[in-house]
Amino acid sequence: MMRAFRSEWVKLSRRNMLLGFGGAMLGFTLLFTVLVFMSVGGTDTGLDEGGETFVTGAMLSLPDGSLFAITQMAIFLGIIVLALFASNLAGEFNKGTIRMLFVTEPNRLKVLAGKLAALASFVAVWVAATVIASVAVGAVLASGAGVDTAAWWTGEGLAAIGAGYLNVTGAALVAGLVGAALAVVTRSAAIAISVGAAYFMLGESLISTFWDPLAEWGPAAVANALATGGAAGTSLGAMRPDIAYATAVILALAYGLVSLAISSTVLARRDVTS
Amino acid sequence: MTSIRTTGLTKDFGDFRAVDHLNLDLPQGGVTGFVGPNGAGKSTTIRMLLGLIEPTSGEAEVFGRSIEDPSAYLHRIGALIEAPAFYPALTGQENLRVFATLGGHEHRRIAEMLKIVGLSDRGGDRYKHYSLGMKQRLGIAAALLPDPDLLMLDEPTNGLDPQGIVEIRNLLMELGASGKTVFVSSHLLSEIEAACDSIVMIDRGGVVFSGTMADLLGRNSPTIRATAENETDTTRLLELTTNAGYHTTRVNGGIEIDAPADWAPDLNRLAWQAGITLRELQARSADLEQAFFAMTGDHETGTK
Repeated sequence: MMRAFRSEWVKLSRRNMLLGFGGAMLGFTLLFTVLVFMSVGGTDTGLDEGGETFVTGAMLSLPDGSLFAITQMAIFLGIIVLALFASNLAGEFNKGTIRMLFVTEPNRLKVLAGKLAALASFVAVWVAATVIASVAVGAVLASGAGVDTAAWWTGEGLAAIGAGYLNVTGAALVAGLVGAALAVVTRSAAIAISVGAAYFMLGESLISTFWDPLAEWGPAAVANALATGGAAGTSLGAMRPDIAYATAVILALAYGLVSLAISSTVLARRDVTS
Repeated sequence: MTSIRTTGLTKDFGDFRAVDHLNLDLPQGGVTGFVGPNGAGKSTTIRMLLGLIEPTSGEAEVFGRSIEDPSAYLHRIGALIEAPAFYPALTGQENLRVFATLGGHEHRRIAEMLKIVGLSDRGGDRYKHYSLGMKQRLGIAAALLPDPDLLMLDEPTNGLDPQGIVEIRNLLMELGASGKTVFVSSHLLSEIEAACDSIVMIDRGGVVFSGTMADLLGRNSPTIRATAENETDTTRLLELTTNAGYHTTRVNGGIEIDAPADWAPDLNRLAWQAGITLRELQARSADLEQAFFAMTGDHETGTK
């Protein structure tokens, strides 16, 4: 598995990958961070009943206020990660390199495990970079937005940053593993990414409109709840999810394991004809 | 000692039987050609031997190990399966590094293999900028990375220029002579004939010939082709050769006689005595192409 892990990193460490997927994660996060701090004190665009304030200086001044931006946009990070996993796995089928991989390492599960571990480590590194960048940019913009960052640097604030990093990484990896399963089943990056992204961005919330329970256990809702710290998250105001953090963790693990089981079963049993 | 042995190996894709009770016995060492028409089952057979496709029925062994456990023998195999497949955005060197790392092969072999296939000065170029011939060379370099005992190459000379074809042919012959087993499929029958010691010919999923090249060519009689200057003499010429006891057929304005090459002067003399002037008289020894069409029934124009 370690050979597969190191082999995958030969591909992941090239400039296009770093600037492409890594840059997209960083760029979206920084853009959202800037927008959040620019919107302090403004009101919602009307999506919220009663015109509740979208984000206030008080919310951002809390110990976990430094992570407001990145946790709120975790679903976008998840979609980028889903695209990364799906394009990587489906690309092996499209290019025909899957047969080269399986002839070189006949244990298909080792290849899959090494690949996913490498992709997960790539995501972990870039989420760390985005968290650091988001907090740093937030700190720079804070004074102009009337946000007091003193609580960010307390023990509680730094612990919140650490927990937030783990939560956002976990949420992104749930989406990534779902993307990997879609890619292995469909063998098409285009189908896997479009189906996965459409579901995470719109599909689940649309279905939830007609079927409320989905908001309590659907993968997009779970990823969002995990990223934002669940229903007990303190800095989220009206945007607090319905799912408790512990439930979100359990469901996220379940979605990850089910996705892994689908990927490994299909990959291990299917004839390689591409 | 055999390198590959199959017994009743069969693969169905739905209602289509791609490989039909294939029996193979390939010795270790030397170069063996694997030929057959398009859709004969060559690639499917190779994929089954490499553990990429599960057989529907039958058994197969590579180096005495069942193909049910490819990890027991694949470390001894280098393979190029159909078209070479690499990562377009990576350079040739990086692509080889991916597979060398995955296979646990020494990275110093990357430069050595690039040199062997003539890509030393282009190893730093991205794969997507390679010509078809260069991609093919990189595929062969990747197959050689594990220093394999058995090399399975599917159409290795595809897209190569004449010089490249000769280089790869010489490389395969060197590998075969060094004790390695080379199992190579190609649609260039002349290449198979030039490079291979033995041949496996399959058609409609089954083996129609397996043995040495000399055995195969010896089965097919040489022919003499003759054309009379005056086309009205063709019938008389045909009577002459038939009366001499040789099977003769009309072919494109002339005749083709199943006779040894040294009978050509006799035919020339007979024709002259009968007052027939020959415009063409050509003795042709049996070649792989003739043997191929004789064995496969000429039902396809391609040979893959």
